[in-house]
Amino acid sequence: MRYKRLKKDKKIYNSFISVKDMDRCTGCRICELVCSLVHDGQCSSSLSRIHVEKDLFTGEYKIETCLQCKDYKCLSVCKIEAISIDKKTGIKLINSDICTGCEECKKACIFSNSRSRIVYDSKRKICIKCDLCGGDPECVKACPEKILIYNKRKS
Amino acid sequence: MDNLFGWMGKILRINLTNGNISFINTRKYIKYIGGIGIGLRIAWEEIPPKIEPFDDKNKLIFMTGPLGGIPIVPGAGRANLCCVSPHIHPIPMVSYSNIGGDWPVELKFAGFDGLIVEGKASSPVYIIIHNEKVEIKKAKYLWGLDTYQTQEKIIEQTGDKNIRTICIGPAGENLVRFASIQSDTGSAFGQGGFGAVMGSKQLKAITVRGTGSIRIAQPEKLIELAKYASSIVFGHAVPGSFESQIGPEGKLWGMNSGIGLARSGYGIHSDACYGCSKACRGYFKVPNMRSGQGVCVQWFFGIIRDPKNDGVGMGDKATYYAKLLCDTLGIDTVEISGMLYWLRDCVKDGIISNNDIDLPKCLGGNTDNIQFLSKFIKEGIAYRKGFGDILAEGTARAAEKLGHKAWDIYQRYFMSHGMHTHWCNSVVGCLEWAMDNRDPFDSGHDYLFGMNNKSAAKFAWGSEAAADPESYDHVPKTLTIIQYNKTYKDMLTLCDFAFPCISNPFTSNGLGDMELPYKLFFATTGMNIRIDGLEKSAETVINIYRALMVGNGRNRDMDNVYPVKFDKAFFKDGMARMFELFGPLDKDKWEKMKDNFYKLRGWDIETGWPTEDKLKELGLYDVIYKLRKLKKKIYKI
Repeated sequence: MRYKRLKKDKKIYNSFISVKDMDRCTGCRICELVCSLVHDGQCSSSLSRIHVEKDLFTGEYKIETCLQCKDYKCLSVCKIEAISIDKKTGIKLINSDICTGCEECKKACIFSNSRSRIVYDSKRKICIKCDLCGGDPECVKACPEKILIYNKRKS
Repeated sequence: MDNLFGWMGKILRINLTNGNISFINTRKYIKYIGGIGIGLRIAWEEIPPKIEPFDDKNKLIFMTGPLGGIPIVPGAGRANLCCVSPHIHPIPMVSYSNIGGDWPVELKFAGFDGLIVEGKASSPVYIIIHNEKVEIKKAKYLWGLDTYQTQEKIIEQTGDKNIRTICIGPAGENLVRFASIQSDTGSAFGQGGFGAVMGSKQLKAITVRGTGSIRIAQPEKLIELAKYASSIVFGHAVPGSFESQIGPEGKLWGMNSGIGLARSGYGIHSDACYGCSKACRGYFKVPNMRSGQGVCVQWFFGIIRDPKNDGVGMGDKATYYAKLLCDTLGIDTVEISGMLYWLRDCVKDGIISNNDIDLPKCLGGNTDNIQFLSKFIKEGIAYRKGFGDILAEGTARAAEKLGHKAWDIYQRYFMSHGMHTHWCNSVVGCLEWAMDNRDPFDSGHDYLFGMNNKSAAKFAWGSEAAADPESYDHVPKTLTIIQYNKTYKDMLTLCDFAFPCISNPFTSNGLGDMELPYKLFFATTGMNIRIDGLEKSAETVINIYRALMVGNGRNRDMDNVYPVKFDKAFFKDGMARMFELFGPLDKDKWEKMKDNFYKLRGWDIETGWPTEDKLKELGLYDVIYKLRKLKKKIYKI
């Protein structure tokens, strides 16, 4: 199986976006807006692959990113192999040409109890997820507080 | 609806009397762009002249702009409200207010550029919009709650933390003339008293949830431009704004200069409106009080503080408490701050007695700050108890009621149209005030970007002489340009703290980029109208605004500031303060300047009304015909 073969490949990087100083998040949601703008040419929090959960009354803002999990739960449930791993960067990518929007990957996400890191695009009827913008994430560049960190590392 | 960029294509109309919900195609108004442009145009078409603010026929016209929802650019996601105002004085007129926060962009995500609320509900209701689904629901269980409680209750009911709500508190329900409409813990349609209009319609809240998206004409270009905008805009002259561009401390404007609470350790982080990279607010956690945002308006409470605490701004919990009361009860903080000065002086001069209002020790009374604020703002004003019932009418009407001495004192701290003095430290600022029907600086600050800066003044207004705040000669031209900038700023929308982008001490020539609004508009909408197209649109809107005023009884005499501002005696004992006049205005120069301003605008010098030639030039034929009818009816001419 493809899954087992890739796990043995030691050259795969496991990069992901993390947050330092979450307390400093201003709740501007620029990360969400540039994400959808760069990927879909539209400004939409709902189409964003990164999400900011805001509690307006405590001022606690939580940024939720795809952690590009090492044990690929989303990839492993996809019956039509629409999710693959980029050999160079280790990024898990959904191929929008193949995806049928069954949402199994969304349910399989380890965060699906609170908020899946996979988003359903109701217009195109497919699932979308963070692709780290191919290795130069826009949200990291755009964050005015500079609290998003692009972690590039080997698995 | 499907192929517009920037705009969503639909304006929602909700009738509270009969429950009808319908839509208007935004294309009908696209030449007015958005914000107050579309808002005032709809007001002209639909709100009858000379009606009282609480009349059923008054309408709440909420409007976003095509830039709403774009990332990084300050204030792109604001909304404006046009409506007959209970706050302004002496006669009711259509005025406006605007708001930041998250609600405007959420409305766009739901698919709407704006929303018109008309009629009156027979019992308390709230409106809930979830994408295409619009409902008017009973709000009996919400009526009486404060604005934080209202929002939390609706979140609980819907089970969705991502809804965004604007709502009124007890002040709006009790028709306090300067009641605000609030969102989150600090965003507000602050001035204008539109919270009372919502109260009169028995409308408690408007909740929105949207999962849609805003199409952008040139996405790559927009990101590039937005990043450029972030680097070139520079906050207005109030010290400490946009400190992130200068110091290593980051954006502490809201937390540091504005309130000083950061020094007391209460600030937890900077806070931003939707999509804004400047995060000008602070978020505060003060012991034994509800947490929330705070911004520069808290400066205004500077006279309520323990003198033991620090000097610049306020380091006192009482100032946060004042803000908290205003935001939870839904009251305009600016009106309260002007009122405090007036109360202090009236009590000192024996016009108001200690029985009517017991001031705090720092203002010459006997109570402590927190006790005073509770009694004054909450019990007195929001719930209209005792003497507060008079105060709830606003300082102007309260002063009128108490007699000419009270009115004289009132003029010390209020500029015109019933509103508290704000940034009148130039002749331009004073004329801008005079020409409007409310505080023209809805949050900012226009002239300040070039004041005393010769190269900036030449860049923005055509001459170095325009930098002189005390000169009269350049004012007609300077104000004409400022009014275009301010008007299209409130149409697109963009933030008063950052636009117009006139000067920036960190660029090589010390200047900003006046074409930035147009460039952003083009990249977002794909419409190539250029900066003069924006200005033409703004001029049209300025004339519609003027026509609305004429229909309500406006004339040249009302294009004024209070008489005391011309009085040398008023200035001799140092009454002029920061944000205020440098010295008395010269009556002759003032009137001559007004003549020249009217001429430049194409308005009649005797009356200040737009001439038919000017209206023809702008294609406003319907305005010509309607004004003819109104003039016959109202002025018998």
